[in-house]
Amino acid sequence: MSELLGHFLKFNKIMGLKLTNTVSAQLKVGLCVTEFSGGVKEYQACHSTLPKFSFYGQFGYQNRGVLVGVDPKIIMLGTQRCFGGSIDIANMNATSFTFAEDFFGKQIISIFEKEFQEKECGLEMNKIDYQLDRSHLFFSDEKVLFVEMKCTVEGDSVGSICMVYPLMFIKQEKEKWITEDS
Amino acid sequence: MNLNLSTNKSITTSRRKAAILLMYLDSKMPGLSQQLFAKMGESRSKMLLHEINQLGKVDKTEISHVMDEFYELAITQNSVIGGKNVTDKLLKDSFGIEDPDDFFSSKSGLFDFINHLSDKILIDYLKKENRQVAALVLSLIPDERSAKLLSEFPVEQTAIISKKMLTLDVPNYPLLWKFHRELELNLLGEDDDTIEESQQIFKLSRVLEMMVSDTRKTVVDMISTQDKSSADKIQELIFSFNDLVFMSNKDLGIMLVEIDPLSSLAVAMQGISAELKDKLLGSISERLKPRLEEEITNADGAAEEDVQKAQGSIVQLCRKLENEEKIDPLVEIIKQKQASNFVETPKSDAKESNEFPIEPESEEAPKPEKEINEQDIEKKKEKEKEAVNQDDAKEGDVS
Repeated sequence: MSELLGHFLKFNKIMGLKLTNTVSAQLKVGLCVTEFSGGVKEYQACHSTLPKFSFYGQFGYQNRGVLVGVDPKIIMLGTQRCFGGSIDIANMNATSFTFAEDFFGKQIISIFEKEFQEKECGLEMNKIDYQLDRSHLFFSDEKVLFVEMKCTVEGDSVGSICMVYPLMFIKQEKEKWITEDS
Repeated sequence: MNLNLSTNKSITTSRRKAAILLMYLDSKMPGLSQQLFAKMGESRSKMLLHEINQLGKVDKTEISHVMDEFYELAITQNSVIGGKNVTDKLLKDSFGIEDPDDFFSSKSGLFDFINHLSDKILIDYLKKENRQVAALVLSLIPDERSAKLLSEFPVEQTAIISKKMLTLDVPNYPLLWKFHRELELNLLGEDDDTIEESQQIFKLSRVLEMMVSDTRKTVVDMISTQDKSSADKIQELIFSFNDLVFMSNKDLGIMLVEIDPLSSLAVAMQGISAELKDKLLGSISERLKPRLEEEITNADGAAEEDVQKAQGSIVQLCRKLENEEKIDPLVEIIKQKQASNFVETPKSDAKESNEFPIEPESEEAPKPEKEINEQDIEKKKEKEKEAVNQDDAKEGDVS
């Protein structure tokens, strides 16, 4: 299992790189993943780490799901740049997303979606939500793989991009992660 | 600009076709539309529901045309469907653009649909939006409108947005074009929200508008006994034949030309107020005026039902012209009616009500026509008696 997890984490690292590369190139902003971590833990432990308010994409997988969370700061900063604004990390405390921010957030989530589609691993985009409490994909004592990518822009922290996977997903689609590595 | 207008028009036409197709299919297979709406998602469904709201009566030829087109496109596939390869080729052949992505990399035409949105809808949206988005949108619209909208923001927000407008960097145009399409779907689905009523009330008012006035009155009265507030709101949203008195002469002229046959207008004009009659006669061409006057005389004594039907079809014609953007939105006329506290009166005493306008502040109920006349006659008789007595007295003095 640990070898398989290693392969899968590498797939996630590459996916994170593609994401930051796309965002940086399109928006001319230096978005970097400064810290990558991943490991198996109980979902309740992840729950306390994940922000209550964030941009959450829920993917469906065989009656279960995968959760992708993007920090609101990344969404707001990206929206600002997308609409010709400067990098202004201060004053980014919001409790809701505007129509444009929602649009930008969906573009970010679609990058993940595209990656999963290329792998043909049967993940389907189900819904977007802004509140963690409205996502019920895992039992609190369920073992999940939690991946966190801490991001910075020009040295300033802009929060994390997090992914939560059910272990069955990693096992059932194992050939795909091994192929990635080879 | 013209290109964009025609694009907008074709979108409307396509939406109308979709609305007609959906209504027709649902009439043949009840429940089908529900399944399709569920597949379409909220924003698209909203847009289509809005179009169905606007649809009015659709004639057989139009339904047949839409069904034929649908059959050709979806069943026999005699027609071709566009796609990225098609647009790539067209762009290359027409404009010599090798990289189609470049076509969506400029601001030309970006957010053009905003020009068709009312200030209210736009400002309501921008106030809720990220300040950077507001700055970019305001920088893309004409200066005069931009200044007007900017002044609607609170002062501190105006300063922030103005600063952002000053420091605008080149945005990501390909992404903005995607956003343009999403926003268009979102905002154009709400273009009738200037009437701040629930969709249910709005829809019902449109349905009632299509009924003959007697039936409509019965339904509204019935609703009023159970829910007066909703009945009042419905009444306020209904555009009726008598409201033509508030229509501009220009729009009235456009509408009158479309009425065919002219005799139906003459029937509809039976028993209307003198003011409306003058306005209609004043807006028709000098050539048609004598013919219309003659038709009015011929239509004298037309059955009440026929008059209401003729009025109803003219109201529907107004809605059609409004949809085709040939005349100004009728909502403006309804607003004028509300502002002027216009009270729709039964046609028999329409003239009377014009001569004795009902004051909205007045707590006294207006006197019935009969009562007024009887009192007037009584007073007149008393005055005559007094005059006769005075004359008698004068005569006595002389003698």
